[in-house]
Amino acid sequence: MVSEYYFDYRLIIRVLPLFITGLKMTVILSACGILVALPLGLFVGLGRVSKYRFFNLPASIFMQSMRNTPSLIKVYLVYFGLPYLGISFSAFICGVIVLSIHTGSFMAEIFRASIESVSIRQMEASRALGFGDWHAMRFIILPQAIARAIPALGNEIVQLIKNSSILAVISVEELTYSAIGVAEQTGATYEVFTVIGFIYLFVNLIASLIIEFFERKLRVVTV
Amino acid sequence: MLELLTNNLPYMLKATIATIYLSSGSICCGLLIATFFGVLSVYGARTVRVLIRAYVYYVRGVPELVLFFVVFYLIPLLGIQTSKFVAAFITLSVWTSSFMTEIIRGAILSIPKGQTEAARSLGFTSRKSAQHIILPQTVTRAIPPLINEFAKVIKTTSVASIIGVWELTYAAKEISEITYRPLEIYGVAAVVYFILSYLVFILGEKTARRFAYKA
Amino acid sequence: MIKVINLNKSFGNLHILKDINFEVKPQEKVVIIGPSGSGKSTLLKCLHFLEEPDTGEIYIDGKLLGHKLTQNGRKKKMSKSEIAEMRSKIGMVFQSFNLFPHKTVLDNVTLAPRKVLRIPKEEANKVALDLLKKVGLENRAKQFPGMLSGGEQQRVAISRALAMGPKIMLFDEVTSALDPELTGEVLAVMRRLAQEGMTMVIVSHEMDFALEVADRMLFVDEGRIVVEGKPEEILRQKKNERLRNFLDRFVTGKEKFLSLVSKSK
Repeated sequence: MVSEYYFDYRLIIRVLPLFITGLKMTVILSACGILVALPLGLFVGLGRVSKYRFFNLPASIFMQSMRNTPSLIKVYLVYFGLPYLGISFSAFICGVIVLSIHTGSFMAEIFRASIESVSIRQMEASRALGFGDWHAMRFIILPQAIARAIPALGNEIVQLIKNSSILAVISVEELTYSAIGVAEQTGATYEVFTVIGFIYLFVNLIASLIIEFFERKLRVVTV
Repeated sequence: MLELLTNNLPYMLKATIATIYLSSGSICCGLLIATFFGVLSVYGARTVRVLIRAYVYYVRGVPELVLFFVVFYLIPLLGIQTSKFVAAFITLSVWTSSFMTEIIRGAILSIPKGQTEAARSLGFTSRKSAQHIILPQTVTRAIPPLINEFAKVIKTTSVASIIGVWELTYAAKEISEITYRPLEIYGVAAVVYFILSYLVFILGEKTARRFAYKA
Repeated sequence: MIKVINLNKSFGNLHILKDINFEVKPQEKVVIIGPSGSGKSTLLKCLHFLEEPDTGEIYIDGKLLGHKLTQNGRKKKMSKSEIAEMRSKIGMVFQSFNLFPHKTVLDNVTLAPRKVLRIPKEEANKVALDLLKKVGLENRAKQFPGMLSGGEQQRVAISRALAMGPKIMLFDEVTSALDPELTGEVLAVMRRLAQEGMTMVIVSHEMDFALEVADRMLFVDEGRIVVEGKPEEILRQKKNERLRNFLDRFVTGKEKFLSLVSKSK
């Protein structure tokens, strides 16, 4: 029934070092994406909460358009399309841009939901104490909202790390790209991709632990 | 610009239909798998439950592209010859079933403990109480997040283009390479995905409202 | 009818029930009182085998709950369906009603008889409507639980338990979750049930009701039966300090409240 049903362990051990450069790139790429996505998400999320249409509408448009389109299409648009408008980025920068606006839009929704879940009672309480709206937001609502949002944000961070593998198509030399290269050269396709899968799982595990650490540190802030 | 569209829209629409086929097939299949696994993950034997959790953890944790490659190269090794489309269909079904299993599992566990107590106190066995009391209530709770998953499947079909499956993203890439007008072509593709995804979103809202009062 | 011998139950490190021994005779009404966390609910659940005791034996109508004796006289664990069958002889009503929200009132009452006892639909419906009539809710039969008030839901819950034809009824603080005006209607149903001769074990805070209905009362504190006796003895007790403190909280509170209410009038 099964033809080449063996797992070439020695091969895997030999090629593991080749994955390390790819892994490094994946980590750097994801980290940059996360560092841009978080503030972007917060900014857009705040805009979505705002009662002024000037902020609310663009935020809504941004969120709806980014959340309902595949990241691969965005990659192609940015990498192949923007040069026709005179804007040309390296593959890496394209990757960071796409990852951050894609994940950022989901993070915006998370921030919006957590801000709204805090504000109802707290806004009244802080107004009663004499805070202006913006001050109330900065000192009272946001800290709680951010603390509340961390688990969901953590989920999005894991999604971003997974999403980074798509960038292999524009030759960003991250983990999946190196996997494709090794698979092509050695022909051990199935083994290579299975191992890569586990490496991603490992990276996600590390990321989840880091996020849990932050969640625990900020747990005092939640009510 | 208009000429560009009129020349290529028919082709892209055909590709959209391929995308719709791929999506709906994977959704149905994934839903079936997930219902089975979801129920088992709560009521099954310990080994079964552990295996299902491992499966869910793996499939949800690996990037979709890697999953496509794994399935694509695994299938010939098992001695089966299929088209890329079928490989993609299998991958997407497996992928979405892992998320859906978690959703169904969560819905079952969210039923208040009192319901199980009441059922057992009336003499229902575990099986009968699941059949008549727990699982019917699970449906109501699971449907809104499940519909959310449908939209995700539609978007993830685009990754299949990377292994050579002919669907909307693949067609868009073909055309933009011929016509050298990536902005317009990918823009149209984005709009099509948006419409498909948004339609599912609206379906979700309407169904959620219909089921809301019952719970 | 009920015999509890050396019952012990722990949840992890918490030893909830300690050496419980008591008996309930047929048609007897026993009311159990005690502070929260004393294990009263757990005791009821053990009677129903919703919780399994760690040690001890519970006999319902002479049969050992949860185990059966083989020919050699050794204890063998009952199968799940056998346990389910034993459970159907005992009815239980819960503090949070636990009606099935996705079924009509009528279906709530008939579901167990139809699916567990396999009684045909028309017969089950007839019995159910009878029971609903006795609690005054037969005109709500086609409605869903969500449309009923708390007191109405609890009365349906009682009908639902009665539909299985139990010989014993267990009540776990069934009025505690209700607004005060609604408790009366539920207690009326329980009173009538008592008059009809049902064996009842009731966990409750309603002291007036206990005085009226109970043949015996048990005071449970920290997992033990501390005091046992006739209602008048228990409620007027001076000797046991813990019991006195417990009762003071109730009687004083209620008297205070009543006096406040009458003053404002």
